[in-house]
Amino acid sequence: MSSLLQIGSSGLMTAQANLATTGHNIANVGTPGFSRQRVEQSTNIPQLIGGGFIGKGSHVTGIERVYDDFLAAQVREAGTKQSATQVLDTQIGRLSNLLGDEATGLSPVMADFFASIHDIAQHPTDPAARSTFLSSASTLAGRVRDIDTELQRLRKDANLAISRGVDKANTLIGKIATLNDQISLANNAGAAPNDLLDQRDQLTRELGQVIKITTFTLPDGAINVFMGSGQSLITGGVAYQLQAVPDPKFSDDLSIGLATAGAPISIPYAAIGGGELSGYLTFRDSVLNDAQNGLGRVAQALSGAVNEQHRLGQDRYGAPGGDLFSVGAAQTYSDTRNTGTGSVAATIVDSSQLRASDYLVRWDGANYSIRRLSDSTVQTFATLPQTVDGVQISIAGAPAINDSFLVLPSRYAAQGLQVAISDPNRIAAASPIRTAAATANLGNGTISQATVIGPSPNPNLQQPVTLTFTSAATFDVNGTGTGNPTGVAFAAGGAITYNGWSVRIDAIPRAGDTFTITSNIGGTGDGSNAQLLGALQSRQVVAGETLSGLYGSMVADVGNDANGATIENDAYKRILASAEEAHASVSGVNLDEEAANLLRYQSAYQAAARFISIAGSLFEELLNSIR
Amino acid sequence: MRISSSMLHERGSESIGSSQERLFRLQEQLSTGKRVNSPADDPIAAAAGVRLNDTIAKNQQFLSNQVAAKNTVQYSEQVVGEIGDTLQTIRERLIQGANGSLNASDRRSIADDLRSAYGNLLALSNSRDESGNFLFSGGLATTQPFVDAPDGATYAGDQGRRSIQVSASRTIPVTENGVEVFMRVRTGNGVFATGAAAANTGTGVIDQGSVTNLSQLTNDIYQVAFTVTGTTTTYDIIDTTTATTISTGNAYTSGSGIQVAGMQFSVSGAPATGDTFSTRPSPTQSIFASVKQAIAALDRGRSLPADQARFDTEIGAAIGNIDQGLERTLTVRAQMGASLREFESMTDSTQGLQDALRGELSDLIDLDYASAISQFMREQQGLEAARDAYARISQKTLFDVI
Repeated sequence: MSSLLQIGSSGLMTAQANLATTGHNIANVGTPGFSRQRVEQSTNIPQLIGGGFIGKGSHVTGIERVYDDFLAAQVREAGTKQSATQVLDTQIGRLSNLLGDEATGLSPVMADFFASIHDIAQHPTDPAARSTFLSSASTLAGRVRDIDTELQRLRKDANLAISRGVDKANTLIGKIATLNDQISLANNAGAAPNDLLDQRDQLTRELGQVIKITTFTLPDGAINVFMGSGQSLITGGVAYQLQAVPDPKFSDDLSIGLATAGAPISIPYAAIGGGELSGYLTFRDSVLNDAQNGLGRVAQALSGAVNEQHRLGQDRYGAPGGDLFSVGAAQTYSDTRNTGTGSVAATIVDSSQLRASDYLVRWDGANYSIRRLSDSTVQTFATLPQTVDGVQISIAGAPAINDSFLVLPSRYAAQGLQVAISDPNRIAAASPIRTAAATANLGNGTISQATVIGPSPNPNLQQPVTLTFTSAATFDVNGTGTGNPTGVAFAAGGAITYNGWSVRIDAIPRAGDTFTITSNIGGTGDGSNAQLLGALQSRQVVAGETLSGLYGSMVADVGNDANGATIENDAYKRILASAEEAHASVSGVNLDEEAANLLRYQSAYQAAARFISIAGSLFEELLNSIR
Repeated sequence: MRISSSMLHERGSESIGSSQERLFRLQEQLSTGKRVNSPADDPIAAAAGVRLNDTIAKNQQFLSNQVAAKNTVQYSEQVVGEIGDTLQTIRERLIQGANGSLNASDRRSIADDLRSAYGNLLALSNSRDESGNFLFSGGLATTQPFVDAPDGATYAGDQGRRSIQVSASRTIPVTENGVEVFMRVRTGNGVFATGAAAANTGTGVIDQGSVTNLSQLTNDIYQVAFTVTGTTTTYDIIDTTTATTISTGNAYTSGSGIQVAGMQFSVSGAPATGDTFSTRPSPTQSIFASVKQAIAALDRGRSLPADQARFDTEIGAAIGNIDQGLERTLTVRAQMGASLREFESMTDSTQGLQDALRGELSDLIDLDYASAISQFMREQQGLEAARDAYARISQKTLFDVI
């Protein structure tokens, strides 16, 4: 009779456990990472009585979480990729909005700048036109600096996010290690601690969103966590810490290192593999570097082309033009791990050759290899200085083998773009030389305006030179610097070039006709150099691009990157969502299902209770019959 | 497939969120009127847009340069026109003055008229443009180009021309320097100039002559020397540059043509023995000098018989010189007129190009409102449906009925 009560109470206990687990599932419907749990129950060992076994009720064998390792790993891996593309998408989106906005972009101020040059060309004597030109040049330079400042701010943000990401990873690593300890204790006690496992899975997943990881489960239930590169982050209960350290190659940026007793071990970028950290690193090191170098190259091309033409002109004081713009110099960084005494310096020698890339110079004991980082082209030289893509790279001191140096030709150019003159009269709008045909010439030969040949003016440029025709087909040249040749053959319309200028004489001169080329001091109404400055707007100054084309293609690059990042991010979002759905369809709590379970176990409980009451009344019946 | 409750909520809110995001984008497009609001929206269109905008800005600059160039050329053309009118007046007065029947006071009054015309000419030559720069001083905009001198004004400017870039490949001069307009004017008939020796005693007068054969022209100076023997007048022709005698003892008839080295001229009147006339390649002379010479000739007059021939020769030469000056101004005006016509057609074509570029930019960047609005409506319906569906699914659970 007591076995009836035992059977009843075992049913009651089992139903209770089921109800409790259902309640637990319902309570955790919103808990991230929670896997629904299920009571594993089985029949008690039956009793052999005569001809057969009589059942002895049921008991709970365990509480299991419904969980699929493979699906969980898929969610984590998809999360790793998606969080990287999410960061890229957001950051490049910011950059793209910044560069593409018409109000904040470079195009309108560039157009204003050239419009004001044309104004000077038309009114070289007008002080207002000159002042307007200087202020539009300042506006242009200021806008370039403003855009660069925004790019620097994005860089600062990226570095800050990297150091935050490292902190976040470290916190997660610590928590996972602690949970590892608790889980192995609980496992040793004989039961799987479902909720702790869920918590650890959730933390692992969060860690995977920061940095790519792989896990390995130990027999005691603890997991070892490795980075993508195989370096250990957690071994059982032992946690290692990441560190955000200055990049040894470029100390202004942060790189990621693994903390050790000594110096942190630097983790190469490729080993980060995914997660937010890789998103920020990719954004900073490829997109942002390219954008800043591109903008720097716009500044360099602008100042290079404008300065070169401006130096060929003459200002209102009659002096040759100086630089109109100054631009930030090329910078170099020695790798902090270098052991030699060498230090590299770089100067821009030809802004029209620039490639908007950084360069890595490495000494292998016999040769210097110069790697253009944008396309990894390597050039090897036994000695420095050498000029690569318009950048002259030189070295002082003695580098040790494998010492390396980072050369940034364009990165800081935009930040340093300034207008170098403040006196409107110093704008070299005029040509430094003028030409004249003698009034007494009898031939109908006309002489063109002189073109000054760059890149820098010839020292004898302004020396007076006379071309005297000795016949309709020959002329003598007389003037300092020309070598005074005689009987030079004349071709109508052909270029005659001496002393860094070039003129054309057209039609037919007669013997005795003279033409002179003299200094243009006092030529205040001449705007021919301003005109040539204005013509730079249409000239292909670097890489076959005009100045605004250069900026346009840089914007297009960023736009392409942004577009690509959005598409990629959308794709990974889908992949993540479907992985999450697959995982949730196994492990997630469905309230309708739980409600049904609740009814089921309630009925089971009620039935078991009823059974106990019937067993009780049977017992009473028996007692009554004896009485 | 088993659906977990939290996934149900997540997906529901996610689809509402993404629908809202699309609506936001459409709303941004509708409010800016642009399909491409950031390079990321359409990188290719955005890059092409930057280039197109750049070209449009450049064309706009060229359009305004063309207007400025047109105004300057129009003004220059007007001033050169007035110079031509003044020269025309001078020429007419000179022709009156050449009339032998005038008395001394008539000639003086004509000389006075010429002096005032000369003043007018000088003032016109020192005209300034709208910014106060001298029109004819070349590159030396602030230097007064013409300063009066006894032999005719001298030029202080240079031979530069102010030019304006009117298209990507075309820079057009918009002013002419003083040398071209006033100073470098060939005298005589523009090819060779004739003259009478000051010591001539006869009444022979040489005309301006003309070119009969361009290919025979030389740069040499030729002299015609007369000999009167009784009633017969003969002349010799000598190339004084090479000191060779071309012909001797030619019979002279007043007014008949004398031909040498592709040139033809005539001497009329009665030259005396030893009188010489010469031809040489036209030198250049300023218009001012020509007017001054005319005034001097008128002042000297022809009261003395010996002066008559000299007077006629000088006035004849002066009229020729003024004609050359007139021709110069006409040439300059014609060039300016051609420039003006070029500007006009250039402005038309630049404007046309500009419209085409704007259209192209608009096609690339601007929004197709009709399709955007219909898309907006569709998206809005989608959002409402997503909301309804979510509300219905999340409202009811089994718990409601147990």
